[in-house]
Amino acid sequence: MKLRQWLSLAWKSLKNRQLATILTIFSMTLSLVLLMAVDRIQRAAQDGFTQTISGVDLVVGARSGPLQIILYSVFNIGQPTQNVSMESYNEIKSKPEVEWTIPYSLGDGHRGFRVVATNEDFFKHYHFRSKESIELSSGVIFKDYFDVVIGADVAKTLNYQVGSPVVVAHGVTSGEAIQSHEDKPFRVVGIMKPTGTPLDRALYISLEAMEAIHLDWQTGSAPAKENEIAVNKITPDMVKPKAITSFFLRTKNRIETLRLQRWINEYKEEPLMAVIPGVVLSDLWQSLSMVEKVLKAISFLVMIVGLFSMLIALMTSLNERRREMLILRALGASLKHVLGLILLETFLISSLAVIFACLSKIILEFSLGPWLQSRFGLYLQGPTFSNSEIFYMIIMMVSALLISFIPAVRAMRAALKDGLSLKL
Amino acid sequence: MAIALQLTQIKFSYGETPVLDIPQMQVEKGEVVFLFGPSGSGKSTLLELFAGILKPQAGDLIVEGQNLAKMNLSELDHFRAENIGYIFQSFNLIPYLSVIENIKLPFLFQKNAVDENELNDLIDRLGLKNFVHRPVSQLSVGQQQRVAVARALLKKPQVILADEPTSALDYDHRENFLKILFKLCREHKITVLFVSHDRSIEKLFDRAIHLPEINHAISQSAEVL
Repeated sequence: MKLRQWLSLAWKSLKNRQLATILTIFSMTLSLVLLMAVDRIQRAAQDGFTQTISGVDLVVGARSGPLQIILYSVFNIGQPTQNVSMESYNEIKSKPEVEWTIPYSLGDGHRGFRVVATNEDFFKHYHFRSKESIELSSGVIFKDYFDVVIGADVAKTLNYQVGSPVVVAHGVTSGEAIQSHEDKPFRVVGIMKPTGTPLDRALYISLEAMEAIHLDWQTGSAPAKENEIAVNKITPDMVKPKAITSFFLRTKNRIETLRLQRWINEYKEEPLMAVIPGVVLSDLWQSLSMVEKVLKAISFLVMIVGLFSMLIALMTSLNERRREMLILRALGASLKHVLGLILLETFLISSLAVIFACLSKIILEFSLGPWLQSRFGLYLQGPTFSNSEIFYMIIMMVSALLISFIPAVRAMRAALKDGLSLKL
Repeated sequence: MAIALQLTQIKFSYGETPVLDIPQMQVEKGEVVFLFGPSGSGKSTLLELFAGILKPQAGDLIVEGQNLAKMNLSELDHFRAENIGYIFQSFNLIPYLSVIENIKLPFLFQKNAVDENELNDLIDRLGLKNFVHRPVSQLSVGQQQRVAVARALLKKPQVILADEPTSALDYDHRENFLKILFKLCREHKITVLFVSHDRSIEKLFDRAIHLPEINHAISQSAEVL
């Protein structure tokens, strides 16, 4: 009962200093929103990064470094050193513990975007952000040799629609091509929905199409006009894939993964390397986490500024509140009551700051979520408030209460010194 | 007659400066006493001693049978909340609270709950009925002093300490204010120690004490000068 009266007194006292109180709450809210926003975006970025590919147990490529295999297979960054022969791929694929595979053949590009040769298993099994699979916003997946499915970013940047012609550049994945497969143009048959992953920035053709465009490029350069093989002369036998760059693999049982990884790494026929993507992606994220740490440090500094603004507001109000404290003391308020009143005011200020920060965060997430998704590929998935965000709120409240001991003790001392004879 | 306030060999000083040195002083229960003296004679300090805000360096300070000189800070706060009503010269009220909230405020610091019947009765008798929910900042000085009286009386204190509460009032309001205060205090047998330097109101009290006459610290200071 008395608590309600105490809260009412503290609330009215704060209302009496309306402007200072509003500004203090505003600065604390702002600092908390910033801290939580950094955390949320970091969480979304980390999830987006580490879940760029999901459900894949191993990524297998020619023996090089684990990071290199992940970079060129998952992120379209860098170049593979060697290929994986179809024999090796088929042998591994046919092992009983393997559930499915997705072959990847890289090397060509189109106007700065990478061209990936794969098969229908890519559309069937490739997952990202845990359970999300590839979907088309328009068209169908490739069926004919010269069909191409394009990522959402490719479609948007190049303004391509279903039916748009695509000429693949030879051996170039960035910039303008020097040599192109102009004699065998592709046609867009499908456009993928945005995924917020590197999938959006690539074009997908069949493995056979990759073979087909290189049939007459055996010397490594464009064929002379008379050596070109016309499209209508291509037979299925001619375009049987001979090698791929890498492949994704899923085992039937997770326990088999490590054993299969070891087996592939010791594979005698060909120097191969199998890496567990989750481990490499986490390591890679850790190495990129400096920016995240800097952002977090800045946010914490902002929170400290917010807390100091509260301290300043309370300290500056103390002098004008000496008469108020004196009256309360004369009416029977003990020094503990004076201390309690200031702490209660701080509790109200910080509680309001936390409530407003939570509301602001929910509103911002709701209103900016789709924009962050489409503009930056940041998917705000998972719970709205993470444990760390709840921790920040608690930190904010506890710090505010601890800091307010400074003005509270000062008010107590002033009350003791002033007695009842303060002349204002 | 029972003794409400009693000082014996009280000494109080701020640092090296002696302010009070009173061998003996007492006020009977229910007595309405006028304490006067020039500025700096220690009137407010004496009130703060009786209110338990200050503690004497020596001597016994007995209020309603309890020796405040032997109490610790927390006991003094508790004693003040339960037994003492205090009325200031001005700026008596918490400006951001309404009339009724100001009157009820002392109950925040003690265990007892407000007796609503007594509250209504007091509000009626002090003529505050029409503006109980009004912010005190909208009241005249006279009305504010009546609110201060209501606040001091509602918790039924044993003693009311008043520090020049009439100095901001004109003569008519002053006399009216004092009549109401004394009437209510006498009804409840409340002892009043009223400090002022305005001797025109002295006749309204049971007794007057000229502080410089009993405070040896003042005479010593005068001798030094």
